[in-house]
Amino acid sequence: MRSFLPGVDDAGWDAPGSNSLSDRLLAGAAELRDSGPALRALGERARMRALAGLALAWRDPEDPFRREALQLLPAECGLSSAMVERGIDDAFSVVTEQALRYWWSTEAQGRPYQGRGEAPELSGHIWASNVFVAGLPPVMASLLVGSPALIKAPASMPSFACLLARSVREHAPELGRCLGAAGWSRKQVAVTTTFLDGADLLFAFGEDRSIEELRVQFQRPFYAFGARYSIAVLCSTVMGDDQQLDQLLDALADDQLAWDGQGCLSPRWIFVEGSPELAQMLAERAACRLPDRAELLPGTLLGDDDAAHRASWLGQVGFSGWAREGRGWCCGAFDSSRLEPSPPPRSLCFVPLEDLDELALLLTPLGSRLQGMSFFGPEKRREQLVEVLEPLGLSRVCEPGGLQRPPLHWSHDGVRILEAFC
Amino acid sequence: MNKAELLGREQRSDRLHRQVQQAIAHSTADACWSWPKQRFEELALALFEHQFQGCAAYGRYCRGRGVSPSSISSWREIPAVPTDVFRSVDLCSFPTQDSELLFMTSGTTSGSRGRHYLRRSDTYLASLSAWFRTFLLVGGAAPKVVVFAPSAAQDPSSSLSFMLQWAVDAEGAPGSGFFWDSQGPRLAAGLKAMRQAQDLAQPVLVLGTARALQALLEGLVSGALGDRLELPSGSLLMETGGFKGAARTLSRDLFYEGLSKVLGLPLAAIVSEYGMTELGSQGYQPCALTDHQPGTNEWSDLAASLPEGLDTAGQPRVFVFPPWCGVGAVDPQSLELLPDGERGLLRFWDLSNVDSICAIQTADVGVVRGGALSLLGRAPGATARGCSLAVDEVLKAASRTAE
Repeated sequence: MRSFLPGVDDAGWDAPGSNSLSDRLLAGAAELRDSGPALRALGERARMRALAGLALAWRDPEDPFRREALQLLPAECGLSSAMVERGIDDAFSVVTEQALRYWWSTEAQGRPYQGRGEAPELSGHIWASNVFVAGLPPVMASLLVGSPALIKAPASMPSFACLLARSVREHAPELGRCLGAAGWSRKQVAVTTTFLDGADLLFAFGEDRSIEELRVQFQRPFYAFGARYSIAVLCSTVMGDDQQLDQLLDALADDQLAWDGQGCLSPRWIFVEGSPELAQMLAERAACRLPDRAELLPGTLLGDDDAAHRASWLGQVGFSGWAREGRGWCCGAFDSSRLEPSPPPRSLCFVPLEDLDELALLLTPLGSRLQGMSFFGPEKRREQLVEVLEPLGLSRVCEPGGLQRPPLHWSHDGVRILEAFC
Repeated sequence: MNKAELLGREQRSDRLHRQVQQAIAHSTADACWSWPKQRFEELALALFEHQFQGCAAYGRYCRGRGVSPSSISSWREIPAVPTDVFRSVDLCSFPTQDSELLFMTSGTTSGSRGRHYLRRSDTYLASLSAWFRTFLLVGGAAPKVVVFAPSAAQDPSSSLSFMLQWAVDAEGAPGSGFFWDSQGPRLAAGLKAMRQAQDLAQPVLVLGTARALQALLEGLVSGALGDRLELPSGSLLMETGGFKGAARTLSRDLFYEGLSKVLGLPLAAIVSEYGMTELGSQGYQPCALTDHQPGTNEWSDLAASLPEGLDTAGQPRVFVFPPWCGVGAVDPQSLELLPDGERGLLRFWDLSNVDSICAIQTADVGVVRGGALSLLGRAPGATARGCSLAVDEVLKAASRTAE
């Protein structure tokens, strides 16, 4: 299944046809635009109910779309079945009526819709990477305000977008033909141009270079989300007893193991306020917890380059601190504050910091690409850190274990997503 | 460390060097290329104890992994050190100022260079010469050795140049030499030396890097370097470094076929060498023309059972290491040693690394069976990428900007 375009693929996806993808996109975009008035006429309450119902359906183990996703996505996205399942659950668990209402009240209510009085007629969404749910919030926002949406998925990973579009038709028929999706390669320039020409505003996920190219090409409202990194910070003053410590380490492990450590919210380093000995103690303790955690959320097989990088990291960290590995995980601790060598995916890398005030300086070489921080420590310290890290891009702060479940209203990369439609 | 301790360590080192050299000498004298397991085991474990005690950083590393000389019973359990670590840590069991040799990696990709300190050169020399002679000296008259690589004087930190220098000095007939300058290979001059040998029916041993040999091939194919050659019987060519980043436009088989045609050498006379700065020993492909190397037929059978083990002409394309250098593959996922025949990251246990580190973990991928190694390219990144930042690239770019 490479596309689901209203009015085009209704008879069956992948049906042989003479029309080019550009033609089908044009036709699909026209259908989507036509569905806009009815969608907007529903009112936001009805749209919220419909979207919450859709999310609930996706969390139902018997749901056919979820089941199909679980069948297709592991191979397509290079993730374990458990990870795909968790990704679906995390992404849809935050789409509740209550959350949608809150989102609406803080970002949309009373807005003039770019002076037009109503939402844009069609929003475009470019998805990238194997974190297949990353682009879901802007699509939810689009449907919530009454803008039909068209998703461009990577050619090699079209299934989730297409299943989502089909599931809207099935589980939220009151929303009408409001969502379409297709997967194609960015090398198909003409198709991408057709897609961009049809959209009134654009949300794009991808690499910085692709985003810059799009920014030049798309002269209407454009919101981009590039590659980012996240961190965890632990204050030594609040380390509790053994049980609390183990819970903390499990939570850190869950944040890291999700998406195989490859998401923008995966904590790359765990900065520990304290000595190298404390960092090593945490790493050693984490090494005892990780085998079980990794079994709950298994990783996929490493490619040769990744495996070689991992072996090298383990050696280098082992010599400059402490490191240990197992199938699907590794962890280590440096004996001084440093970022290199960068940790491989699915690793817990503890970095000691005598003073957390050093953190901003340490992260400066990475530019303003910091995304999230899970923080364990006193509230006042957290506030101080947020203040110094916000200029580096920080947009999400939470407790360990919660990084990968951002709420709908998270200002991803600083973008107030729902407000962008208004 | 006090004087007595230092002396004790030196004595232990000297004793181990003697033992390794004796074992190499026995192998060479008896053409016995398969060691009893016990001999390798005893020497490897003795080396580990020496390195664990003598190299503080390695000792700490091993203790961090819960390993000590008393906790292991097999050389396979010796903690291996990834080659990258040689860039950041001086891995030696003696003060670096006491080293007779220091070899360094090219460091072209990472910036910093790996350093391999050797306290004594004689064991290194014993190892390289024994295996080089086995695979590259056919017997009879000394060949004219023509080298398309820097000499030891031109690149004192290169382990390859050290080996090639030995080949020229110790095994080359008059007229042997290096055909290299600051611009790269001096192909015309090297060819002139080869043509002179051809006229005299004198066997030639051509030693060169893949890149230099590729230039030689292109020059002879285009005619820019004159006519093709018909090297005398008994001539051989050794290619090295061909599969680690050289700008190759040809497949290996086509490359060798081309060299075979332009130099008038049988395909079987082209030998590939596998070596690295961090290893004192080298591996060679068995060559059908040398009659005193470990059973060629045996290697052929093994090679046939390995992926990409035979070239298009049916020649074994596996690398064979001396009995004092164990080779294995480890599971890329767990880094645990794999059974023979399974594909993994290559790991070596090189007993000629007496005072550095014996167990070396490489980033190369291959399959090992019966001591023969089929070197495979790394599979292209099979893992789909998420939206996580490529931190290494950003940090490298940032450090370049800072410079």
